[in-house]
This record gives sequence, structure tokens and C-alpha cells, in this order.
Amino acid sequence: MSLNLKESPMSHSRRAALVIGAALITTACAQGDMATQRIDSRNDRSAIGMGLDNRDFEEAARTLVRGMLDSGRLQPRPDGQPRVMAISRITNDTTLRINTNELTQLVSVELNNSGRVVTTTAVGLDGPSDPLAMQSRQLRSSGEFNQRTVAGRGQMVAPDISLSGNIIQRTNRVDGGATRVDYVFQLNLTNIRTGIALYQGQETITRVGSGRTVSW
Amino acid sequence: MIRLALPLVLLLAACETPPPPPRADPRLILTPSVAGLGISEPQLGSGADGRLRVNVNIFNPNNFDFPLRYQTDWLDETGRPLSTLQSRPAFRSLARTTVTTIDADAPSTRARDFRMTLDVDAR
Repeated sequence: MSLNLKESPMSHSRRAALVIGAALITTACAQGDMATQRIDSRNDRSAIGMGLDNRDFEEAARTLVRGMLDSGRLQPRPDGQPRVMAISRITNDTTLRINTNELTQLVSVELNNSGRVVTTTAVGLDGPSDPLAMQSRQLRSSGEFNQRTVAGRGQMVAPDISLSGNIIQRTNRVDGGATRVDYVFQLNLTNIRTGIALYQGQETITRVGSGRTVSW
Repeated sequence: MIRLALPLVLLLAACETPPPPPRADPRLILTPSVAGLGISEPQLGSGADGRLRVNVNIFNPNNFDFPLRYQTDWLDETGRPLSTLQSRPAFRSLARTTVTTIDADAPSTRARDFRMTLDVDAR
């Protein structure tokens, strides 16, 4: 018994069709790949998604800081020095994983640049954001350091306002099967001495997109 | 003599080029895509705290809302743009057949001048 190793012309053409089809699919997939690009953050016109990106944080911070400065409530201290702000709690009530420092840093830098407010990093709700300022006081007991260069007692300045807020997400189905997502940025500036809010502001960033798109 | 002089005067008057339109404020930069909008001269003033503020009124004559992208650079006394969130692009939907006021505030009293760019938001 011998095996017929010759292939029929039909199988040849079928194989060729398969090869061509696979090549076309591969080419199509390759063309779908996007080359990596550098983006100028000051002129970022790239596509957006249903989630939040840095442009949204900048837009929210820009609007809220403008409201703070326009409120006229951020007057200097009685000694003429700028107010000292501590960062309190910013609650992330969204389905996104957000490092809220992205928002607080933008706000504090912009307020610092305005000349009205400075930020303390030595006091924070969960401890200081920079623990070294306090720890460096331990050098007072070290004979290795020139004591005139060590921070003395009573030199730190306590905060007189605190920054707190929320980021809230609300998702709804709208007509046509699309999804609408509202992200609400709320920020408060509270006078620590009195507990009264000096400023309360809210900025909403809204997306409407395909219902198939997920926002987490 | 008068018969000859009159047509000559009329001819010269016809050849005279019309006066150029008033030059638009160079601090306002308009891309071709916003050419169909009615845009006022910028009104610059300062608030109670001394920071500069600018207003621009824009009339959208179209029968559709116009997606506007605008960006305001704030310049210090040497003409350098200040690094600020206030110079990031902002977006407004200009309602159809009505006027919308675009306003911007300087981030600090260091700002001495501004430069505003108006463009379409083509995203």
C-alpha cells in the first residue's frame, strides 16, 4: 500500500487562499497599531476617554482656584504674610483609581504662585507629607551638628486654612444607548480657627460616549 | 475748464484706495476656523486685588452651537508667559445665534499683559 503524497490542485488553491487571508488579517492588524507619540501637555488635542485624564484635573483645578481667588476671602494674615494652608482629606468617590495628590498639588501650586497662600508640608491629616521637617529637630541633641544651623523651637508656622473635598462620579444611561458620566470636583477652604468655610466650589466635568465604553 | 476738471477729480477719487479697516488687537489670535464668528475687541481691566482681567464677547451667527477652544497666556513685564493653570486650554460651547462672554483672570499681579488664542475644538 502506498500513500499518495501528491496534492490536488484544489488543495493548493485552498492553501494559497488561507495564506493570503492570514496575510491580509496580519496587515490590517498592523495598520491598526498606533505609533508612540510625544504629546505637548500645553497643546494636547489627543482623544479622550470616559475616564479622567490629566486635562480634566487641570481644568477642574484651574476653575476652582480661579473661584478661590475671585472670592475675595483669601486675604493675607494680619501681619501681611500669606495664608498657610494644610491639605486635609480629599475623598475619591468614583470607580476610578485616583491619587488625589494630582488635584491637591495643582491647586496648592497655583495658589502659591498667586502670592496669597503658602502650603505647609509639616502638618497633614495622616501625618506630614514631609516628615523630615519634624524629624530634623532631633538634631538638637546631636553634638555633630552646628546647633546654630538646626531649626530652633517655635519656628514652624501653623496652618490657618485647610483644603478638603470630594471627587464624585455619577453614571447614567441616556437615550440612544449612550452613557453619560458626570465627575464632580468639590473643594472647600476652611478657616481652621473658626471652622467656617472661606470658600466652597464645585466643578463638573461630563462625558457622553458609547455605552460599551467603561469608565474604570 | 470746469468741465475738464470735474471728471479728473472724480477719476482721482475713484482711484484712491479706501482706508484700511481698523487693525484688530494683536493680542487676540484668531484661527481661520473661527472667522465666521463676530468677535469684539478685548476689554482689559483689573479687579479689586490688582489682577488683570480680560473679557471678549463672541457672537455665534450660526444655527448650531460652536465648540470653542481658547487659551490665554499671561505675560510678565519681560513678555514671558507665566507658568500657570490659567493658561491651559479651556472649552466653551457657544450657543447658537447669541453672544457669549469669554473671560479670563490673571493668576497673580505679576501679569502685565495677555495673549488669547481662539480656535475650534475639533475633538
